[in-house]
Amino acid sequence: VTSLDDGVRLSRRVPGQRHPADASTARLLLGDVRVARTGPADPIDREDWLAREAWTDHRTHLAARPPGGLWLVDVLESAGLAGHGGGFFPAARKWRSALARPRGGTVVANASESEPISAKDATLLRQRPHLVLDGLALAAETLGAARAVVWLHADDVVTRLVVEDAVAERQRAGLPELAVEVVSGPGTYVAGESSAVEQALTGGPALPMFRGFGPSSRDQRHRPATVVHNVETLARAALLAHNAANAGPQWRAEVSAAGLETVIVTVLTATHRHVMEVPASAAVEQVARAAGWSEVPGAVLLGGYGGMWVSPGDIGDVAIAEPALRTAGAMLGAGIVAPVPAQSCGVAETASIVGYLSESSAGQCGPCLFGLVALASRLDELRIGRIRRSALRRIAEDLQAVRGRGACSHPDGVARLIASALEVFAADFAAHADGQPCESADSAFVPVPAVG
Amino acid sequence: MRARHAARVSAVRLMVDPIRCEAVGVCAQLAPGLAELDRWGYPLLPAATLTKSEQRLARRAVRGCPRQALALVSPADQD
Repeated sequence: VTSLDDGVRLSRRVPGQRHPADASTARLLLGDVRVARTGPADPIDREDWLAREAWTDHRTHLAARPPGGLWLVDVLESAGLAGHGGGFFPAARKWRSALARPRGGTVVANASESEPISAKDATLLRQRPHLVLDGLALAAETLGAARAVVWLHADDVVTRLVVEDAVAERQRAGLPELAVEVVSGPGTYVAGESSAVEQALTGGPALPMFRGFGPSSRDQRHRPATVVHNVETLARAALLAHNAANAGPQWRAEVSAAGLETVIVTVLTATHRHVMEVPASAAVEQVARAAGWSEVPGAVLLGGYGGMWVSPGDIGDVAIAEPALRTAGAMLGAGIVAPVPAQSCGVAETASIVGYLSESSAGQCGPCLFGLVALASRLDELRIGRIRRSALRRIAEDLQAVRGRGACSHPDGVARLIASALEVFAADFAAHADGQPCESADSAFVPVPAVG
Repeated sequence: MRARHAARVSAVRLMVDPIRCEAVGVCAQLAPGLAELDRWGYPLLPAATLTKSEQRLARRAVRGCPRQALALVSPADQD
C-alpha cells in the first residue's frame, strides 16, 4: 500500500517550489480502510472510525472554496471529469445540458452505492464529508439549483449521522450556501439509478423512469433539471475547482488534471473489503496485491454485479483507470475489484449474482422481469448440473432478448456479466453443461445480500 | 431550408416505452413484419429508421396501442 501511496505523492512534487497541488489536494481519502465483506462501510479497525475531517481541518487543508460558475464547467471539461458511479458520462456534458434548461432544479450527491460490494462512496463521505458538500454546493451554484440533496442507502446509518453533522457544521460556520437535504432512499439495487433518484425526490417511487421518447424529452426541456452525481464525482469536481482557483497562471496547465490522478476502489478479499485510493497508473494486479491478494486469482469481477468478469492474464498489467480499462475491453464501473480464487466455480459465482440481480429488477419492463428470471433459473440449473448442452444455447437467446430492452440499463448490466462469464469461465460452463458440476458449485466466493 | 426540414421529419424510428408496454400484442397485428413479439409477448422493433410504407404501418400501431406505449421518434429528439 505504501509504495502505491508514494507514487501519488512523488508525482505531485516539483523540486524547489511549492506546487499548488500537493498531496493533500490531489487525494480524496484520508487513508485506506478495511470493512466487513458485506453491509455498510463500517471499518473493522477501531482507529479507522476516527478518520473524519472536521470543518476546521477541511478549511486548513484547502483554501476557501471558490464560488461556482460557468468557469467550472470549462475546468471539468478540460480535466475530463467523468461520472464515478459507474457510467463515466462526462460531467461537463451533464452540466451543459442542465444549463440549457430553466434554473431552479435539483442537484443530488448520490451515495446510495447500490452495488453491494462497493464501500468507496460511504467511506469517502465518512472521511471527507466537506469535500463532497463543497462539490455539491459548487454544482448547485453553477447550475442555479434550488435544491441540494445527499441521497443515501437505507441501512447506512453512520454515514447519515456524519453527513448531518457536517451539514450542521457548515450552517454554524454561516456559509452562504443552499441548505442541504439529507435523504435516506431504499436499500434496493435499482434505487441508486439516477432516474430512480429523480423520481423519488419528486414524490414518486424510487424506480427507474423511461427517458427514451422525443415528446417527453421535449417536455423535459421546459422543466428544471435534476442532476445526479456520484459523491466521488462531486469530490473530484471540488478538488479541481480548488486547485484551479488557487493555482497561479504558471501552474494552470499542469493543475488541470490535479484531482484525477487517483482511483478509489473497493477490493474484495477472503476476509474483508479493502477501500483504497491508488494512483490511476497502478496495474490491476498491483492493486489486488496491495489489498492482500498474494495468490493469482482465477478471475476478477470488475465494476460490480453489473460489471464484467476478466482474466488476470488479460487485465493484470492494465492500469486501473477507466480509460485504460475501457481500451482493454474492460471497465472500472463502480470501482469494484473482486478477484476470486483459482478453484472458484464461475458458474456458481455468476448464478448467485444473477439470482440477486433478477430479484432486484424493478419489475416494470417485461423483457427485464421475465428475461432475468429465465436467465437466473437457467444458470442455477446449470450450477447444480440438472440440464445439458441446450442450456448454453438458451442462455445465448435470452441474452439477446434482454439487451437494450429495459427503461434503465439493469438488464444490459446482467447481460454483460453473463456474456463475460461465458468467455472467462468457458471450461466451467462446458463441464456443467456436460452434467459434471464442480466441487465448489455450492459455494460462491463473491458475497450476495438477501433481497429484502 | 425546406429540404432539410423535410429530411428531418421523415427520419423516424418506432420505439416502445418498456414501462408502459404490457404485452397486449396489438402492435404485431397492426404492423406485421415491423413489430414482432418476443416469447413473452413484448414487441421487438427495428433499430433502423423507417421507410415511407413502414411509417404508415407504424402509425397504425402507435394509434392502436391500448397502453399508448409506442411512439414515432425522430433521432434528433433524443438526447
